[in-house]
Formats: sequence, structure tokens, C-alpha cells
Amino acid sequence: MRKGLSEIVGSLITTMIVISLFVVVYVTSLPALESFLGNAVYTTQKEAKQVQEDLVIEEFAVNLTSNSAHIWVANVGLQPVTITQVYVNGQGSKVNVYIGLSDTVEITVPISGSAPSYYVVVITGDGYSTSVTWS
Amino acid sequence: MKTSRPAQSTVVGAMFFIILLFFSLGIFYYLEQNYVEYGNAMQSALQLAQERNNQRFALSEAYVYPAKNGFATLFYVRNEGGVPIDLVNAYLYDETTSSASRYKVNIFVNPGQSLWVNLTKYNSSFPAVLNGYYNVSLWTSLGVGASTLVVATSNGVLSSSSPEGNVFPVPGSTSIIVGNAASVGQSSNNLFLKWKFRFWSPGEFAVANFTMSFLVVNNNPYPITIYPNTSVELDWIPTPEQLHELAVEMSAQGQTTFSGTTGAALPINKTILIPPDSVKKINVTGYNVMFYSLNWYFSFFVPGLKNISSSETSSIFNQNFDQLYVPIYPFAATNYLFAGRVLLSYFLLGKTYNMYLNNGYFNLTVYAPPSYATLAINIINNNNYNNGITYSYSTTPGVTESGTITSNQELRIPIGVPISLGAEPEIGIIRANYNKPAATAFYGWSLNEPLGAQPYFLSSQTSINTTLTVYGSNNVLQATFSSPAFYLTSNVSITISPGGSAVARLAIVPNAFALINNVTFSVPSWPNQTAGIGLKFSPSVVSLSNGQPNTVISVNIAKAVVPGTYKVYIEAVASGNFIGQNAFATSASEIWVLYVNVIGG
Repeated sequence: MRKGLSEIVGSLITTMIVISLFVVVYVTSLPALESFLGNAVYTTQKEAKQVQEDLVIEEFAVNLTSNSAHIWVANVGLQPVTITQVYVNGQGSKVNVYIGLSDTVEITVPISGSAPSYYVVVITGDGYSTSVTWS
Repeated sequence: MKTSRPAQSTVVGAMFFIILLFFSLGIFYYLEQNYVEYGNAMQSALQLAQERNNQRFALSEAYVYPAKNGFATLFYVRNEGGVPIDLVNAYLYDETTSSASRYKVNIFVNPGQSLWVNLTKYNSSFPAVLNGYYNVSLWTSLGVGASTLVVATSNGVLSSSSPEGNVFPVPGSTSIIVGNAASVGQSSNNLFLKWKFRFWSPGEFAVANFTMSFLVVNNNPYPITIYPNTSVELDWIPTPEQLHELAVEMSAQGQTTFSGTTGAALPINKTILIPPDSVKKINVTGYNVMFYSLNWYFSFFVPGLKNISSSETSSIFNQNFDQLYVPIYPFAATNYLFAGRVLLSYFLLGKTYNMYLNNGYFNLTVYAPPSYATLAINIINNNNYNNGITYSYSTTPGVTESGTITSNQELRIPIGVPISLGAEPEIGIIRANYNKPAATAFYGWSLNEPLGAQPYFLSSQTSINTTLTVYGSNNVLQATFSSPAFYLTSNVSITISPGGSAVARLAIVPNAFALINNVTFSVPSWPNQTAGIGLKFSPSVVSLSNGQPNTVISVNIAKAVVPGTYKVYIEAVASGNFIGQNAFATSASEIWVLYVNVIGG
């Protein structure tokens, strides 16, 4: 029996066994791995975007005839944002207002009536929020 | 030598381990790249925040004044930070209607630079209505803002009401709020103060009514409580010249202490809770400043009730009294610079912090000694000889009053106002008119020289001692008025022949509170007295019985020699008594000019 051939065959078999074992392990852990990596990347990218979002509520006025509030919001951050929620004294309004970089928009939302002060919260689709009280 | 081969399982395990190791390293590298991206984003955001923190500017000194087709509005913007700022948004908030408008602006201000912003350029209709309150704010592209409050009155800035005794903000801008609403970079524990300063004159003499408000911005995740030690102060900031004046006067008055820069404290006697991440506006209203002339200083004090309130608490009243003495400059418009500041004492997480905000400057101009209701110069043309005395003066920049004082007409102008009279105003009388509660006293002297020819002085015992300055077109005529005893009138021109004689009829007109007993006439040794005419008064002393008013005296004038027209200065010294419980002897002298025309024989 030629000893050299058996060594080659043995090595191939060993390699195949190793690859097979890794494939079995990889396929078994793939869902968990994808979930882990996906969450990590998503969270990181979302946070990276959030930290670059910055809004300033520059002016606020109410129109008691139409029971509406006018809010001027400036995007002073590094990302375009989309405002999705506005709260005035706890009364929420769903909006979809896109603000480009260095842009300012006026948002009109309904209010329930006159109040001594107005607590205004503006929330973006990425979860960033800013608030101010006008009195 | 025989070598031993590793077992098959050992090789398989080692290879498997190596593959897993590289796989893990790949995952780690992948995740690390994501975190690098996050780190870069965080770094750029922090850089932006740093740039924002370096931006600091103040919006102060708002002016509204009449302009073509309406009003013009100017704001003074000062870049107080270390980086340039670009102002991109302006907002006008009408506090009457609670409506707001945004205007795109494009204003670049370098560090340390101050410039005027003409808001009318961006909104020609502002202010749309007068008698309104407007909150004006400007914002940079990085979201840093400053605001100030403007009150537009129906009279605009030119409505200075009586110029004889009012306290104004900056000259010519009665309607203006001088405010500085910027958060001035004074912060601690994520707490910011924004300050507004409102001022107006209620139309009463020497009383200024202030409303101050400041915003407390709590950016903490915890509530803060404003403590009773919080106080509001007004400080006088003297100029070096005013400090010098003060030191000189204090030395003359034997004063050793001075509290002029202490201001008026206004403690808050209730606590005010400010929730996390919220803003509370605290108002201080009814804050009065009065100016009293007490010899050499004004007493500046807060006499009565103050009112501090926030949006949540009820009004807080304090009875306080404090004084601030500032030197007076009785006969010239004088500016006094004041600063408002807040010492905020607050409670956060078990500790008490104190924080000063020095901001909110305003300038007061005092136009007259405010201890009297009115003080004015009367110019009376009491002669029928000429066609009138032309005059012009200005109490409002850009507006000149001019006209002619005709016979027996009276012109009343405020003290300290430069007035130009005609080059040859003929005989007239300038009188200072004190309108005191007890009496109206008149002081006068005749004036028939081009202004500035000679100073005229009248002096005698009096309880009133003041100096009036009248500016002529080229020179200065100055007189000290004191005695309210009398004034003289005459027919100012007589004609005689050489060697002949004439009678000058002189009328003595004492005021309603004096009895004149004796009048002595003489020709004074006066510079520029016309030579070549010999005059002799007969009689030289006239006695008046019972001090009859409006006595007409005949004085013989003789020995005029050479034909010509002569100006003769005649001095009259009168003595008499004042009437009333506090009657006292008085005397006064007066000099006036008699024109003598000597015609050929």
C-alpha cells in the first residue's frame, strides 16, 4: 500500500469534515447572526442619523379664530428631517413635513383653545424631539 | 528520527477554530466600521454644537421713527461671540393679536462688529399699527436667536411730550423699548436667562415706568426652584466724566458715602417652580424710577409697589424703597446709562446656586431740572419800535421752530434749548419764568444789543439762584437772574438838539409781589459806552410813594453836543420790599439802553 496517497485522501477528508462542520454551525446560527448584525447596524446608523438631527422652534403663534397654532421650525442640523408628530399642550397631531438642510418651515396644527402657556413638542420620524414652552 | 503525526481530530479542530476565528474577526470588523460611522456623525454633530455655542449676539436699541410712507424700524445687532454669524430669519410677533410673521433676511456680522439692521427693508409695513407691542427676534442659520420688544406709540419717536421735564429713553425715541433679549452666554447647570427690558414714560414728569421680564430656560432633566433671594436691580453706570463730577460734588458737599451703583433691589418672596426642559417667563411690573433734584444730585428710587409674577404663580408684591443718587446737569440734556440685572437664586438637586445676569442697558435723557413743574425762558418784545424779533430754535432733531416776536408778544422756550435771535433784535426782555407752586416770579433784563455784545448781570438777594444760557447766532449771552423785583420800560429813543435837553419817560413795573420805594439812575462806567455826549439826569434819585406800580418818571437829559445817534447805557438800582408773610427787603439793578438822536442845530 502506498502510504503517500492515503495521506492526501486523509487530508481531503479532514478538510471536508471541517467545512461540513462549519457549514452546519453557520446554517444553524444564521438567523440569530443576521438578527444580531442587522440590529446592531440599524441601531448604529439610526443613532448616527439622530445625533445629526437638530431642530429649533423659532417662533410660535396661535390663531384663536381658527383654533390653530403656527409653529416655525428651523432645521439647524446636518440631516434632512421629516417631522411626523407635533404636540401642543399634550394634544398630538400627525404631520408629514420634510425640512431640508438649513431650511425653515411653518407647521399649522389644531389646538383646543387659549391657554396661559403652550408646551410645544416636535418629533421627527427618527425619534428626535425638541420642545419649548411659550407663555 | 521518526516524527509523530498529529491526530486527525486535532487537525480538524485546529482548522475549525481558525475558520471560526477569522469569521468572528470579520463580524467584528464589520461592526467596528459601523461604529466608526456613528463616531464620525457624532463628531460632526459636536463640532456643529460647538460652533453654535460660540455664536452669541445681542439685539438691542430698537428704534421706530417716521419715515417716508410710514415708519422705519432699526435694530442694533452686536456680535458678542468669537465667530461670524449669519442672520437668516426674522420674526415679528404682534403681542396684541398674537400673530407672527417670518421674514427671510441675509445679514452677516463679524465678531465684535455692531451694525444697524433696517427691518423695514424686509417688511415695509412694520409696524402695521401703532400703539402696539411687537416682539422681534432674529435667528442665525445655526439656530441661535435673540429678541427684543418694541412698543410703537401713536406719536412715534418724536412724541417727546413736554421737553421741559421728561425722562426719555435715548433722545428722540420715546416710543422705544431698549432691550437686550439675548441669552448672553451666562449659564450654569443648563440654566439660561433671557432678559427683556421695557420702558416707557407715562407722561408724568420725571417718572419712568418700567416693565422687566426675563425668561428662565431650564434645560435640566430636573425641576428647579427659584428662591426668594432672587432680586432685580437697576444700576447707574456713570461715564468717567460723571464720576469725576460726582467726586467733586461729593467733596464739596462733604459726602463720604455713595450708593450710586447699587441700584434698587427687588427681592422675590415666593418660590417659582420651573419644570424640566421648559421655559418660564417672569415679569416685573410697576417698577418706577423717579428723579428728584436735591441740590447736586438726583434721587433715583423705587418708591412703591412692585409686582413680580410668572405664568404660574400669582402676583408677588414687594414694598421696597431704595435710592440711587446721580449728579444733575440742570441746564443741558444729560444722558444716564442704566443697566438692569437679575441675581437668580435657584435650587437644583439639593444645592442652591446663584447666577448673575448683567444685561438690558437703557439710556435715559433728562432734559431739565425736574424739581419744578415748568422752567422756561420768556422772550418778550415789549417795544413798539421795531418790526419784531426773529427767532429760531429746535427741541426736536430735524424740526426747527422759527418766527417773529412782534410787539408785546411772548415766546416761551424751554431751558437749555439753543435759540437764535435776529442779528439786531431790538429792545426786548428775556425773562426766566419759574412756575413754582407758590408764585410766579419774573426776572428780566432788557436786551437791545446784538446777542453777545455784553453780558448782563442782575443780582440781589433771593432764594432762587439759577443761570440761564441763551445762545445767540454767533455769541453767547449769559445772565444770572435772581431778584424778581421789577423791570423797566422806556421810550427807547429820544431826539434832542445840541445843547438842548429832553425828557425820557421811564416806567417802573414792579411785579405783583414787590413794592419799589427808590430808584437811582446813573450812567455806568460801561465798556463801549458812547463817548462825546454829556448826560445829566435830573433827578437822579426818584422816590416812589407806596411803591406804586407802573410809575412813570421823567428824567431830564441835557448837554448833548455833537449831532449823531448815541447809545446810552442807563443803570437803574431799585430797592423795595416783597409783599407777604415772608416779605424781605430787596434790591435790584437793571441796565438798558437809550438811543439819543442829536440832530443838527
